[in-house]
Amino acid sequence: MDAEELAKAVASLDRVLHEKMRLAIATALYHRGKADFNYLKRLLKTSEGNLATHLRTLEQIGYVRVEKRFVGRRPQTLYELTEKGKRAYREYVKNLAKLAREIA
Amino acid sequence: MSRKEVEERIALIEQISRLVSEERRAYGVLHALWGIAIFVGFSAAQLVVYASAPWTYLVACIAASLGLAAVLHALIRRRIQRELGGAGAVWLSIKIGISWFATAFIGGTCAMLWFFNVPEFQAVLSAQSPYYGSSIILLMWFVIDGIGVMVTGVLVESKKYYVLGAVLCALAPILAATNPIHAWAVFGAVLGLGWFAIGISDYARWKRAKQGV
Repeated sequence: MDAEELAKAVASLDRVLHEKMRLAIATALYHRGKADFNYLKRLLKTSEGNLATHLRTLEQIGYVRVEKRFVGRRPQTLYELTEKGKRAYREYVKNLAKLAREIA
Repeated sequence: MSRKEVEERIALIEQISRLVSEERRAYGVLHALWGIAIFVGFSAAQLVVYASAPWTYLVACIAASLGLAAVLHALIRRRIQRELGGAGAVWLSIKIGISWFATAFIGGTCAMLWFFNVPEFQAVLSAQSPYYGSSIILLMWFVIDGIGVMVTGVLVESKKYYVLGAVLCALAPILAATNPIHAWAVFGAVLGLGWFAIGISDYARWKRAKQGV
């Protein structure tokens, strides 16, 4: 693979999802379906601030949908990948696998 | 972009996917519940067969135990979801559900078409007791459920399911060649207790992992 092809393959990767924490969030939500904030915090072993920042980025770009509800008297915030988010995640994983094969 | 960067992303995806998939073990308690329901329902059905009681009793035994399991399933599932901190089903559970539905639907349709359309088979059955015919239908379900269990094993990558599925499939011809009338008790014991054992072992493993043991 020459330098130009490599640059093209790298450019095909979604920059938003390429960030590690956002990739971890997207992977968790893709496989888990809906998940609440505390679940993600526990699974990804990260701080509330860091998680909230990345979730907001994903929400702003339209990859994540937020649902607020009450469980008994306690508020719960659920996160879920949108169709756009699922498509982007699948595309990212496909391109990453392709890139891994080509640079191996 | 370095090779290391790509490898790191791939490792991260694999790690998170594995962690989420491991959660399915929390639902092992539901497998255990269905296992007990199958065992109790089909063992009671076997007693009905031995006593030659009306066939409605047989249906009632199975419907009551599986119906109770369905109600408890909904309650326990909600509690586990609350404990896990999520909502909705894990993608793996959805795939398992679809595969079971497809196996039961395709297998059940094929079995019933064969059962009601082969005249020679009908002739043999008409010479036997009504329970003989229902036992033969159950033997078909040994194979269908055996395939379903093995497909689950493929999806969750667990050998326990392969073994249970293979045992169910192997038992069908053995029972057919010996005495199909005992099929109800055998089905309840093998599928019910097998499912129960797998469920409990999965749940215990999840509990241990959760407590960090």
